[in-house]
Amino acid sequence: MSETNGFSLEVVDLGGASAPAGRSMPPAAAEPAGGEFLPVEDRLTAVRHRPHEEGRALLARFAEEARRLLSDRVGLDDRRAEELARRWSRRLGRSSAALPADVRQTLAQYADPNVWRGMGYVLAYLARAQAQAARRRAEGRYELDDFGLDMAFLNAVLPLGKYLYRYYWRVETTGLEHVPKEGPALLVSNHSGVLPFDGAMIAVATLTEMQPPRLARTLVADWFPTLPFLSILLQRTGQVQASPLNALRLLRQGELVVVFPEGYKGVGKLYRDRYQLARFGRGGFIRIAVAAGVPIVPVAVVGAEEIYPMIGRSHLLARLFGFPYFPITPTFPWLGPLGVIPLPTKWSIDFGAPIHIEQAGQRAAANPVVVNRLAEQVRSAIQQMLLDRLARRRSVFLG
Amino acid sequence: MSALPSRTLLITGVSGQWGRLLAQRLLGEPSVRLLGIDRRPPDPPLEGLDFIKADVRNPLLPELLAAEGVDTVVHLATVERQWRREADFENNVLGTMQLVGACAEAGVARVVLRSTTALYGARPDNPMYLPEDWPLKATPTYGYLRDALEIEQWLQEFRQEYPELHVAVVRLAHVLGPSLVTPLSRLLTQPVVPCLLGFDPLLQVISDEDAVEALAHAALSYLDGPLNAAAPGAVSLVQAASIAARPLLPVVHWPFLQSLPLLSATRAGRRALSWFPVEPVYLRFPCTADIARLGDVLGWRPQHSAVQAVERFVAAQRTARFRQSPEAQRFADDGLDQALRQRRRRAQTVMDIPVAGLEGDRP
Repeated sequence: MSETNGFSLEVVDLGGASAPAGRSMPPAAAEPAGGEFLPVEDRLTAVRHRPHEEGRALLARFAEEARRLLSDRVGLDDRRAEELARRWSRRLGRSSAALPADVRQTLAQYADPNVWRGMGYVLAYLARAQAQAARRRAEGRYELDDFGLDMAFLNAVLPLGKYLYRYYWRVETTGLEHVPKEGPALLVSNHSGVLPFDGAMIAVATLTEMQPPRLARTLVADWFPTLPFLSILLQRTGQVQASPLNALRLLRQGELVVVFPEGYKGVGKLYRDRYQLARFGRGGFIRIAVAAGVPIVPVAVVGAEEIYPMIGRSHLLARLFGFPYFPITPTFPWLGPLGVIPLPTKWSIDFGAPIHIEQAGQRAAANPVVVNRLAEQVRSAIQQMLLDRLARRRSVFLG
Repeated sequence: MSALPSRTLLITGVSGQWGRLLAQRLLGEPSVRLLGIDRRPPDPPLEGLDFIKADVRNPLLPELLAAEGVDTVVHLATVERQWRREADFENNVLGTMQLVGACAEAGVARVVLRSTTALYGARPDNPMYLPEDWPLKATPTYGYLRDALEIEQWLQEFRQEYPELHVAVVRLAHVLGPSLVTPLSRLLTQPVVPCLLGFDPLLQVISDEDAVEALAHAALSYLDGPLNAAAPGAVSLVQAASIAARPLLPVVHWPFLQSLPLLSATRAGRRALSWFPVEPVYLRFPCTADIARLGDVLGWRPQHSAVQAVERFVAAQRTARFRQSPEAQRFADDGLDQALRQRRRRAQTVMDIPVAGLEGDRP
């Protein structure tokens, strides 16, 4: 035991200076014995205050570790292993001496086998966790909520949504304080962009920028459940078929519900009609808000209207494929799948002050005139928010 | 005896899988006299059941109901088959009509029918969890669903004319359990589970125990009109197949669904469709029912959740082949049960005085 200690102190040659070393100072003095993990902060202060001691001790540990590996694992005889370990550690010390002090410190840390061991533990843990998750999924041991939301699936696809949100469309979100931190609310937004990316981005906004995170559940048109794969994707991420029954059930569960009253007329809007709100359906969202007694939060999404500049619609192809509309853009369908890539415009999502219509009463909500008036109120609020944002926007792609 | 008013229940189709389970459940109920009719006697016989051999379409049925003082009839004598046959149609649709008519004529207070939530239809514009008053929009091709739809549509007219006869319709979700063979249980016990590529709808299921319990509660309560019965929660098709450890066989939906009318018209096509015991459209869109009324009206909630029902079913399937037959069956050839029954009947005829002319119909 003392033999190895003596030998490892001998080889330390850090910083070029001849460091007198002796048996009187075992490396255990500089490094806690037993090879426990020192927190990074402590390790840094240790290095800063006693760079030579620390470096020497680490080189000694490296040599010791190398010797053990060479003799136990590689199967070299003791003499040869000792010789090799000594040579390697001397070389490491010399080469590190030529480096600047901070790099040397970093390297000294990486020379610590405990760092690598720790990394190994972390990687092994991650691999094990992933394997267990995959196994649970293969055995059907996962939970879906009443509408098919799968939180594990949502967490798995969220990075893609975050990427689009932060780096692709660089979404700027304001007014999230108007969204209740808990309890139900009906978010009413303008709709555009051929594919419903705006709903996805609103959901990413409430998931990533709210504290605590909330999942906004979009009501999607009847066409989307008929599409393979997209139907599963929408359902597993908590999107729900648009109907008063579903909306009321969700609101009574205290969820945030996003509704696009423009429907197909909005999402299939022509480029020249951008930022002009289409008719707000039949005002069903007003009746839902009154029936559930929840506030309406107007939402204005700017930028989504330009991701696919739709210059025309083909009624013939729409009929043929059973689509509600068939978009013709400068790139689609001419470039095939490439035409589906949306343009990287700069987005903003503004949440407006809540509009409280819940005290209107069931009787008023049954009257089309009152419903129309309330719907118009919400519509003009969103239109105004859109215009405010557009007035400040200098460029479609740079914001 | 308890203070509950004594009731006389009659179960039709008592020898079938459903009738047998419900009879076993209701035989344990105090102050209930249980009668059962079917075309064949229950095998093995049910202890305590007053079995009468009769078809539901028998014109003498009103007489029997009146003579026995039956106050509740539970109709379970329907046959479920994938493709409609004339005999099944006559038994299911005409038989149910005849039976309900007989009940109205004999002054029976209540009829309980078993139906299915599939009648709401699997459609892309379906909200989740449809209430009982939701219109029945199914457009079925399979026989058992066509029969069930026809019965319910007829019943809506009938109930307007005869409001005094309470007809409770228990609409069950996919029933899963070791003791019953149902479309979904057949789908999940196939070597592969066919599904539609890119679709994974939520399925609503109910365990066999809960389904029988719902029927029993409906029979013993004063329920009128339709009632959805399903386990709380839902399970997706892929999840159910994963729990059952069955590989999925995805089928591209468009050509398959387009050729469905052609397939169902040919013999080879029907053989291929036997891999789809559940109608393909139910593997594409959701068809789920709201169970709020179940708790409100019956004051009872299913014991197993949707996932638990699937797990229970799968566990029973896995252990089915290892389970030993009951001890009594080893001595079935002795015929001791027959002898016992004969002796019991002899003892009864000495004690009882025959009350109705129908006494002789009993086996």
